[in-house]
Amino acid sequence: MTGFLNIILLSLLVSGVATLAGGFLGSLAGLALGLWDFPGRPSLLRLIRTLMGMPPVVAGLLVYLALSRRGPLGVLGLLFTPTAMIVAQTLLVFPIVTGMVAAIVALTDARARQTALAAGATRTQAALSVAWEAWPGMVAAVVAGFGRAIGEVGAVMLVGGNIGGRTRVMTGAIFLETRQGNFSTAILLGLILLAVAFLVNLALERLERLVPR
Amino acid sequence: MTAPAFSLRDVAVDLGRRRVLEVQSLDITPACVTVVLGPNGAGKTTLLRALGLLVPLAKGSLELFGTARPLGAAGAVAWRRRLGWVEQRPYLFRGTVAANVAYPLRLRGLSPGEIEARVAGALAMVDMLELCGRRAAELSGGEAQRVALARALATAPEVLLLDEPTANLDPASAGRVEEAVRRYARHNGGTVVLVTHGLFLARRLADKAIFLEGGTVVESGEAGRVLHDPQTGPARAFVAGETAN
Repeated sequence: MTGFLNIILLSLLVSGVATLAGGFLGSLAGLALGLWDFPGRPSLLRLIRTLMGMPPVVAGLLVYLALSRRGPLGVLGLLFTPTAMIVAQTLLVFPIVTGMVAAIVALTDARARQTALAAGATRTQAALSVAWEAWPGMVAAVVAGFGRAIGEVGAVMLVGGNIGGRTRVMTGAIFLETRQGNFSTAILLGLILLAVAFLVNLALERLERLVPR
Repeated sequence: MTAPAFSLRDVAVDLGRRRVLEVQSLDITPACVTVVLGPNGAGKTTLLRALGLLVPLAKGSLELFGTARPLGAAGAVAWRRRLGWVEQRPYLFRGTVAANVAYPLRLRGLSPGEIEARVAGALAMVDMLELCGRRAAELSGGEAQRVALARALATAPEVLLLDEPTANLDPASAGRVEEAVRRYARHNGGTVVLVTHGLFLARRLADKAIFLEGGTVVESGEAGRVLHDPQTGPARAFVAGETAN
């Protein structure tokens, strides 16, 4: 039972921090891409949209190569730690949130920004005003990012190693239990995973209501 | 001698490759209502946007009460903070009526007490004080227009830029907006630049009038003359057409 609880808590920690980091950075990048026209913007948008479909195992591979002993960040000794898993999942969440927020902001009534600027807003204040208007969509983007993080298995397995008691999260545990033929445990873990995702989504829905219509 | 509210010299605005506004020389008199008239596509809204630095100028010089148009972003923000702006289809932000009117005041970093007082004052000017707690999304078109006007008036702007503020409003709502504009101009000594193609609204409010066609000023001067006895062909045709309607 304690093992189960640890796995659930680690899943929430890894995916939660990755969603916060990827969601924050992705929201900023998405706002910039959605609001401002600058040289290279179309290419950047194309790249982000491509990365939205990046297989988790590829993100895991990139982080693995960066953190492995011979990699540029190998000296940090982060491979097979929850930190490495967070980094890998952040890489997955970031493009999803960026792409979705850019699209949502671009679809937000252009008059919102125009009205803000006419009222005397600086560029940053105008961007924040548009974010305020696009808030429900931005929360939906972060929810989608969390869904991507909590449900993926390839990246966390690769950089975390699925080590029991240290880096095993729910998806890794389901994978392992299935391989060992413990289907009832795997199904139970699957149901818990769904329940956790449901509860987190419920909490994020409350965030959506923070901004009145 | 008082500087003109706006002074334009050899100003042009391009939309893509098309020149949509070209003004050789135009001064807008302070402390009076100047109406900008003309058919659809004449460049009226573009002129208003140019005055508010909301579109880039292709060339020319523009001054606001003797201050030259700034080149940097910070200068543009300071310029816009001297103006109030109401669009034909105003955009109201999420939240209450009061929050919308408070919006430009919060941008300027005013204290909560001052914001509250100014919001109440501006809403009273447009007879909307009783609706201050209502959600902006629940307002009718006329109410939204009055909230947008209150939002513009709350900052006590030096110039009020109005783009068809009574279009699509029922006569009662239009009358209230008109009355608020009149009060701002007459009692507060404010400068108003009002874009419209409603000749009768223009005649009721205007001290000065500018007639635009094809992106250029074809006639300007005292409202009494331009609106009743225009000297140029396009303005005469417009006035005759509007009167016939």
